[in-house]
Amino acid sequence: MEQLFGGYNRGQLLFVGDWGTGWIAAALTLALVVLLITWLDTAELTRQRRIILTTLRALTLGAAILLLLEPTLELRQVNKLKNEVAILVDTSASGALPGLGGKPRATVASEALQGSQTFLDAPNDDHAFRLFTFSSAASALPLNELVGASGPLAKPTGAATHLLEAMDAAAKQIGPSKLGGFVVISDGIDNGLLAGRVKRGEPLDELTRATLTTWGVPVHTAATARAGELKDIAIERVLKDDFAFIRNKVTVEAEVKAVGYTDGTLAVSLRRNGKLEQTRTIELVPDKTSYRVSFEFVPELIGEEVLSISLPPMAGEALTSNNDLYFLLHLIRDKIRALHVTGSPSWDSRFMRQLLRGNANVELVSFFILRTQEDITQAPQSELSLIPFPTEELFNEQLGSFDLILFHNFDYGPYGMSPYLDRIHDYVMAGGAMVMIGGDRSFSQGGYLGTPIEEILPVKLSADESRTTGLDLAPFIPQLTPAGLLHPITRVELDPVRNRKQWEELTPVLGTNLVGDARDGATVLATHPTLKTSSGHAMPVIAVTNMGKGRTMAVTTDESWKWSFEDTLAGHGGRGHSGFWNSSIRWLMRDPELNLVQLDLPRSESQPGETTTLTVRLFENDYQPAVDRQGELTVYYTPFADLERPAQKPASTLPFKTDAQGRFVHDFAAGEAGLYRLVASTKGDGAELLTDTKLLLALPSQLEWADLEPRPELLQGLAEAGGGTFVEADDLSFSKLSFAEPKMEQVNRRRVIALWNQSWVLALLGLLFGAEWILRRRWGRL
Amino acid sequence: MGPASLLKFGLLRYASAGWNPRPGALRTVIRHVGSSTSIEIADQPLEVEPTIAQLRKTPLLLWAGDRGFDPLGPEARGALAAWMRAGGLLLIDSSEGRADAGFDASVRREMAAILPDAPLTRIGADHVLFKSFYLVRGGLGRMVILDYLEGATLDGRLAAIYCRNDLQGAWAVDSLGQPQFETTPGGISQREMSERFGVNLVLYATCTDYKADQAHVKALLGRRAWRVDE
Repeated sequence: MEQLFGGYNRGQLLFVGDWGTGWIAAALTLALVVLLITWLDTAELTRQRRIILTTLRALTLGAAILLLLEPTLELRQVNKLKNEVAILVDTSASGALPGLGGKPRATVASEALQGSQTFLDAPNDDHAFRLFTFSSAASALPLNELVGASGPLAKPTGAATHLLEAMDAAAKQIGPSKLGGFVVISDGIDNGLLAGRVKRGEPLDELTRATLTTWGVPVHTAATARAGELKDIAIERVLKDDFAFIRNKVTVEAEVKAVGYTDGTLAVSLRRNGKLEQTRTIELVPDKTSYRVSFEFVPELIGEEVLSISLPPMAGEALTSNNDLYFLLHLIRDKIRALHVTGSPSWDSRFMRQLLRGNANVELVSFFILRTQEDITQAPQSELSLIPFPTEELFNEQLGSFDLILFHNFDYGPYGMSPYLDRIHDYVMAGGAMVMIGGDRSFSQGGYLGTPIEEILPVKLSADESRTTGLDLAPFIPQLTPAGLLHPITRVELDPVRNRKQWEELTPVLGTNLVGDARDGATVLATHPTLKTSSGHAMPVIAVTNMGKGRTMAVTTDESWKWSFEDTLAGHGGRGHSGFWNSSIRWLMRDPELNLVQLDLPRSESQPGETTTLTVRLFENDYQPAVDRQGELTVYYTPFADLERPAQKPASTLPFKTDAQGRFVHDFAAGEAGLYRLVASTKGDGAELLTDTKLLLALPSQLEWADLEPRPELLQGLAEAGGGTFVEADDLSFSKLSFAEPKMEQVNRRRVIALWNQSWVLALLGLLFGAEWILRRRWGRL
Repeated sequence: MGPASLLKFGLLRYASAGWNPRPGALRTVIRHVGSSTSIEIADQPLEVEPTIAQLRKTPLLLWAGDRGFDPLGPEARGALAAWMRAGGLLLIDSSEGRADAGFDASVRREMAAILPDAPLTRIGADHVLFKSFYLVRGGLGRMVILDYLEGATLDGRLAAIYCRNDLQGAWAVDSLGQPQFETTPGGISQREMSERFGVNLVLYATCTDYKADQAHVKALLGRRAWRVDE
């Protein structure tokens, strides 16, 4: 730094007189007036004398005014303060992949830093170099730790690469006034802000440019890998909704990355719960690295499915762990699509239709058989408002679209429906729901004995000789069984005593179909008060069962409409009908809200070892919280490779007791990567096991593996926009890089010299005044 | 199921006289329903008084008359209102054969008291009532005093239908099965349409707007994308 004198290298003249601007202006004005008078007063003198006298007086006045301002000299001895250059080193997991010279990219970065260590350690007046590692966040780290054998460059594991965010964090840590520049060492595969802003082949966006301008310091970048040297295929991402509706087509799209493979084909597979669902083929072409494939399927059951999209390993591939991508799909129900088929219009079918039409969650398709072959009319067809019963369309083409089928006093025989009975059977076994409602065209009377439909009903049909009519026409009130007292279908009142009373007060119904015992596994909710089956059991009147993946229900009377019409007129409100049937629909549709055990997970994916706080809620039959209730949390673990054969043996079982809110909260830590099936269970009042199941995927972060192709062009764009230079990391030389000049200085020594009270200054003033006075007198002036 | 469960067409006995001006006429429609549709209907109409206990017997009722009548008591009015709100369908038929007569005034007075929030309004010719089984068009009844029907609507369905044209007069036959009255001005066609309307009425009572749905079934079935296109 330049020296002035006495070791001081900065000087400054100051005026410390405490005079206001007004006073100084007044003094200057007075001086000018005096000089004007002087000039006029000396008009008689020669021009030379006149100028001399006026000049001397001006100097005198000027010196006097200067003294009033108290001039002072400040001398300083200062040092410039170094600014800080942020060296950002990418320690994300992609650093383990091959980079320049075939070395791991992190190693390339490490060698570049070690090669510059001498320069970085050498004294530098202007800059200090501060090292940061970054992946999803930036953190400062000394060089020896960074490049050490156990340092992050030796084993890069960062789960993401957030380049711009890391630069911003470093800039904030250093502070804007001390920031001298950036040096970024990376493979450029950003998966943070920049990835969204700048796609491959695009120039740097304006927003990023503005950010770099705000920092106002050079940005130098060094690439650890070149583009075009790597071979890899990967499922880059999956485009899908977290939720899908059952019985509705679901579309899942996958973006596939293929780098280094320019011909041939790729088979992309979609698996549902480990089972192969579909395969799509991609034709690889030169100069194209991104492909998109689309899968479509129709889920049948409410719940969760593990989906995976996979690519086969390719020869020479850099990484195969990014060839599979797993995710969960939550399956919920859209509107309930119900098919209501009635063999003969009746009050029962009319009130059922009214109920279904009034339910906003039901999308109703009705078919009423208005005329049979026995019915005669003389009117020509053109005057009838009748359409053929579209059996083929309903029971072949569209059967799978229905969530619920109601056969309401309907006999299939006259309509040539025999070929479709198998399909209806399979539809239920695959997850559909069916209700058979009684009448003289239903159950055995409808000819269902021995058909595939009988196999799925909750009651057996009887060929007993004594039951040739198949009907009993005596009025009766269905009697709830112990199961019926508590079952959500027949629990029209929460309190069991009131519920029983409500059922006992129902309007009697006129007649029932005669049926046999309940099928194994079926639940009888109500029985006939007097009729017995051939085995001596009370005859079922209302029964339900799980059948395959579906559910079925049998109601052996077509008189439940009276629980609406007559009970409303009787002042009972008619809730027996609507409550009973709406609950039936909810049960048949497996409405999750009817579950007395509810297991909630805040998310469906975690990383291995990560903790997830889960909550189990247990409810009493009246849906009040079940306090101090014992239960179990059972965990089943299935590795991804075995999804098709999910674990049947628990990995762990945790007994618990609910708190005062009927809850059990637990921190669950997933271990290895794979699928965790969590089952919360408790015993119901009838000692039956009540459960709720949720799936949790333990997945290592896939972010770093979705795209392995280096992006030196992104780093180059950053350097160009940031006024710096771009190099490959093995050419990195810090000595060739320029950074911002330090903006801050440190004052070591300071001296202040007051000029106005120096004796020589006063002597000079006296001399000027004396000379002017003497000459004026000599030249004859006063 | 069984005889006791057959659908019954009720006939409202609301006064000591004038409540059944066309005895036996209702059986024409009942026969027609029984023979041409799959509905299982009782052969004989059921006489019903306007009390809750009696009205519980059937949700389908004919209120006929040929003269004015005294106001119904609050109990009868309340019972009829509750019956219609519970799902009953009331056919009102004036057999007077002229406009502005006593029965019409009495019926309007009663309906205004029974369903004050559901006034009688004109039923459009495109209503499902006219296509619930037959395609019905043109004048209905023994004579066409009004060329439209009126109705009271509750929760989107007709709870009461009022015909001033003496429908029963068009239905009435003698012991030999011959029409008792001429139907004017449409003659045989008008009689046929009146009978068909009776059938449609029973179908509407048991299927409500089912026929209106049929027009949309194709669109409804196609709305859900539930299959993967191969």
